[in-house]
Amino acid sequence: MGEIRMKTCLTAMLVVLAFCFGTAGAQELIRMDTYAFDSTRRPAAVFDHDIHNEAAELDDCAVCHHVWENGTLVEDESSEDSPCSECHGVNPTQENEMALANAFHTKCRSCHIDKGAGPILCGQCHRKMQGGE
Amino acid sequence: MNAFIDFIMGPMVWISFLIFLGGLGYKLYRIIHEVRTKEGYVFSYLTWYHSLRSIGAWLIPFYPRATRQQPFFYGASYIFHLALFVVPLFLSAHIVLVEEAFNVSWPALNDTFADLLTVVIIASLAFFTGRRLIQPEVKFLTTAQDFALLFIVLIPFLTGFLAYHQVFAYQWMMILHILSGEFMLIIIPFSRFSHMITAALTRAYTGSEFGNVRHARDW
Repeated sequence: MGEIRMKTCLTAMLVVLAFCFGTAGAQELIRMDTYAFDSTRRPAAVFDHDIHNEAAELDDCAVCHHVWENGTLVEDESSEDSPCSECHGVNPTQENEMALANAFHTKCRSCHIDKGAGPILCGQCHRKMQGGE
Repeated sequence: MNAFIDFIMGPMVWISFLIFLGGLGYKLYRIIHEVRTKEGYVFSYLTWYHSLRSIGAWLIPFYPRATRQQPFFYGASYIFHLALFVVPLFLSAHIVLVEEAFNVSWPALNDTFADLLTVVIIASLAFFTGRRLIQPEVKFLTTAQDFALLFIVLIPFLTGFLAYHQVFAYQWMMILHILSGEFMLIIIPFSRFSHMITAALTRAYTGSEFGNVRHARDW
C-alpha cells in the first residue's frame, strides 16, 4: 500500500515538473532569422519586430529598412521588401563594405545609443537563455 | 545607462590606450634618459647584437637554463603570458567592436577555445597567488602590491568569462569587465606591469654585459 502511495506521489511530482518545464518552454523568445549566415557564433539576436516598433514608436519603415545609392542615403525610399543580405554580404564586398553582421550591430546599437534606450551590449541581444534575464 | 556604457566603450577606450601607450613611451624615455645621465658607461658595451641575442634566447621556451630548473613555474608563465595577449586580441566579441568602429577585422579565435584559454589564465593566476603564499623564498619577497596586481589581472578575465556565459547580472558584469580592463591598461606604465617593455631592456643590458664584457652567455 505504501509503495503505491509513493508511486502516486512521484508521478504527481513528475506531472507538476513536466507542466512547469512545458510552460517555461512555451515562453520562447522571438529571435532574428539568421538564414543568410552559413554559421553563427552567438545565439541569434532577440528581436520582436512589432513589440520593438511599438516601444520605439516607430512608423517609418525606412528608419531601419533604408536604401543607399552611390554612398548616399536615398530619402523617402524604403527596402522592407528585400532581405538585408541582398545589399549587405556576409563578408564585405567592393560594392558594399558594410558586412551583414556589422550592419546589424551598427544600425541597432547606434540608434539605441542615440535614443538612450534599448540593448547595446553583446549579450543583451545575443541572449543564451530562453527566458528573460 | 546607455550613455554611460557608450562612454566607457568609446571615449574611455581611447583615453585608456592613450595613457597606456603614452605612459609606456614616457617611461621608456625616462629610463633611457636616466641611464644616459647617471650610468652612461652602459652604452659603451651595449650592442644590438648581444641585446637581441639575449632577448631571443629568453623568448624560446625552456631554452635558458633557469627555466628548465623550474619547469612548472615557467611552463605556467609561458602559457599565461601567451593567453594574456592572444585572448583579448583575437576574441570575436572584441574584433566585432573594432569592426564596428573602424570597419577593419581579422581572424578570431574559436569562442570555446578562447573560453578554455580564459580558464587557463584564471587557473594560472590562482597558481601564482598560491606560489606567493606558500613558496618560502617567494613569500619573503611578496608584498600586498603583488596580490593587488594579480587581482587587477584576474577581474577583467573573470568578469569576461561570467559575462560570456551570461550567468548573472549580465549588464553589471559587462560594465565591470570594461572598466577593469581599462584600469589594467591605464596602470601598466605606472606599475610592475611595465615589465612588458622593461623586461626587454633588462635582457639588453644583461645580454650585452655578459656577451660583450664577460664573453659569456646569460641564458
